[in-house]
Amino acid sequence: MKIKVKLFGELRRKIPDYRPDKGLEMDIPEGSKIADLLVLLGIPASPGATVIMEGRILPLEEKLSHGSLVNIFHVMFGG
Amino acid sequence: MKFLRVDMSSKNIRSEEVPQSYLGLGGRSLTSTIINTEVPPKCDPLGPENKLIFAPGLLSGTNLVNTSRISVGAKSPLTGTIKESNAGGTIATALGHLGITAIVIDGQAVKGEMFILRIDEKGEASLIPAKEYKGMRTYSLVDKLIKTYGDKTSVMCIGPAGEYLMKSASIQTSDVDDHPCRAAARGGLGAVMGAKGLKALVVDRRGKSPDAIADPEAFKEAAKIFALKVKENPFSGQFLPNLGTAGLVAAVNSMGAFPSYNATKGVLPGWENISGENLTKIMKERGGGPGHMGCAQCIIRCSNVFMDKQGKYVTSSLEYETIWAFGGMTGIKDLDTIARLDFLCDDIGLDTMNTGVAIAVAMDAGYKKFEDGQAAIEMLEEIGRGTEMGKVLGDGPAAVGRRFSHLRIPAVKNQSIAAYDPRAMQGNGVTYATSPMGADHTAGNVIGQYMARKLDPLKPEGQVKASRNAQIAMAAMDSIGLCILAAVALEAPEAGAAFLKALSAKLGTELGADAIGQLGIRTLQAEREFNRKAGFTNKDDRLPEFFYKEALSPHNTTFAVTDADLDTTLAF
Repeated sequence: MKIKVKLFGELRRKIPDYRPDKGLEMDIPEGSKIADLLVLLGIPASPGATVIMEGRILPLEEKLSHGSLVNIFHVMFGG
Repeated sequence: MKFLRVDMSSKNIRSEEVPQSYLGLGGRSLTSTIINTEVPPKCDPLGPENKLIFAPGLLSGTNLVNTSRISVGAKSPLTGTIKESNAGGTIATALGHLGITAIVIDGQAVKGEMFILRIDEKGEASLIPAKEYKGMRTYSLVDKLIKTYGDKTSVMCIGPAGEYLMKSASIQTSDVDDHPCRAAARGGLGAVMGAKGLKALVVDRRGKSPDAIADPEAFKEAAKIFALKVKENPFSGQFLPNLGTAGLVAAVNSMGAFPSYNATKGVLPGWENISGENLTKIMKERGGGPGHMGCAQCIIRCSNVFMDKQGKYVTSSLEYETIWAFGGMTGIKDLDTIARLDFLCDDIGLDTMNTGVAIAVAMDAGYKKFEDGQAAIEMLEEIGRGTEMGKVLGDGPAAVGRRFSHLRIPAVKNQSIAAYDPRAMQGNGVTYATSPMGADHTAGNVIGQYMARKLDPLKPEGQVKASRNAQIAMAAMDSIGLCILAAVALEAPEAGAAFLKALSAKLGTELGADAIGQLGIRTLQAEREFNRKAGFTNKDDRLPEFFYKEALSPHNTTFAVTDADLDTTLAF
């Protein structure tokens, strides 16, 4: 299934030639979870990353579906 | 370890040993304890009975990284409560090097008179008439003071807003480049300084009489471990040097919690234009940039320098909260305008948050249109000139709401909220409502708990506990003098142990694991006791009504923590 991934902050450096305006188009196996996606991208889930879809912070075991738009952030604290 | 007590009425300056009852306190714990003990709770905040206290943190002036934080305390003219406003820069380290634990300013100069309090490299203090500096904005003031007193000088000062006794007036302080871009911004303490007749505090940085460290070897070893952990932490070690706090713009918008258009929306359409990612891109193209060292002892480098299109300096330390107040709340999506507004606030001596939100309330009330950057700049210049409308705007969002009979005022105890909407981050709403300081994100920000998936930001459950823990931790950090952005490294057990060891080695006593929490609780207790004596009750610890009634898009939630639960937050 196809999904779109947007990376923020320093996570963009993980992917060579990452284009912020386009994000990443990815083809991943049906039934993949957020944890699986982070492994594919080489981003450690703990302590580093937070995944947000449609305004909600999602647990690592949440399943992705075709057409999902996934935003991935560092864990941040107050500024 | 000494206090400098300065009586602005008699111009008498007295140096004294730290009284027994204040030993072991520093920063916020010290300012709040002194105020609770010595200031009449019902006094006029702008009268002679109020005290303005400058206190570096317990570890400021030592070699521990990121400890150049100063607490400024007084009874606030904005909130009517006790107040501690915290700033970085270089002055906390300078005072630490002189072994000065606190400067307590009492009394009041004759109206119209202004003075500079100068402390030389031997720690000798003197009051110098400052007639020639009257009315000056902070950048030209600091420039002149450095020319007069030498380049090894740290300055804390007020601009015109403080002299006008405006309730959003800040106390600005110089960074490592001698720019007065760091601020003890909140609570209108600049007005207290103005009312005392003190234009600036000028401190020589060459002091060589710091308090002794009880166990220097143990301290050195622990400090080294702690510094490594700050560097290792992905947020303080990698994220902040490259994006600064502005990196939060994308995340908080993506969570639907970025109060926009005077808190009528949770997402700012077009937020990408004012994101940390875009800010970094622009700064790198123009020179300046992120990764700037703003404070003494800093190894994080979250600060930045913003240049205009011609490569000319505009401002430094353009922070997330400022970008939100002047961007999100007003709908201005242009970083050049926002940077200009940030500079004007620093130069006039204003809290960017209280001022940005005041402008947003004026726009919401129809005084000017949302998104009008030029109108925002003109409003700030009105404050700088002290016009009739400028004085209303300079007193903050509640004053503006009253002026226009407008009820949507995102403030608690007259102080504006910060860049996290309490309807979409309920725990930050608990902090806004219950902090003894009025709405204040640095008093206990819960966003890290949400992003680490430990708590659902939209549900009321668990928020009181999260806010309580954050408020205790922040009160302790503000007392010890550790930058809260370095404090994130304390999550690693080895860092926490090293930090406790460093504090123990400094004080010469083996502190238990709960000592830091106890310091935070003791501080909050003193603050709440003062507020109660000043006439505040639990009924004041509430958010404005619209947060309970107007649902925030996109989640369509209201603030849902009950009053009964709020009242348990700090009921130690």
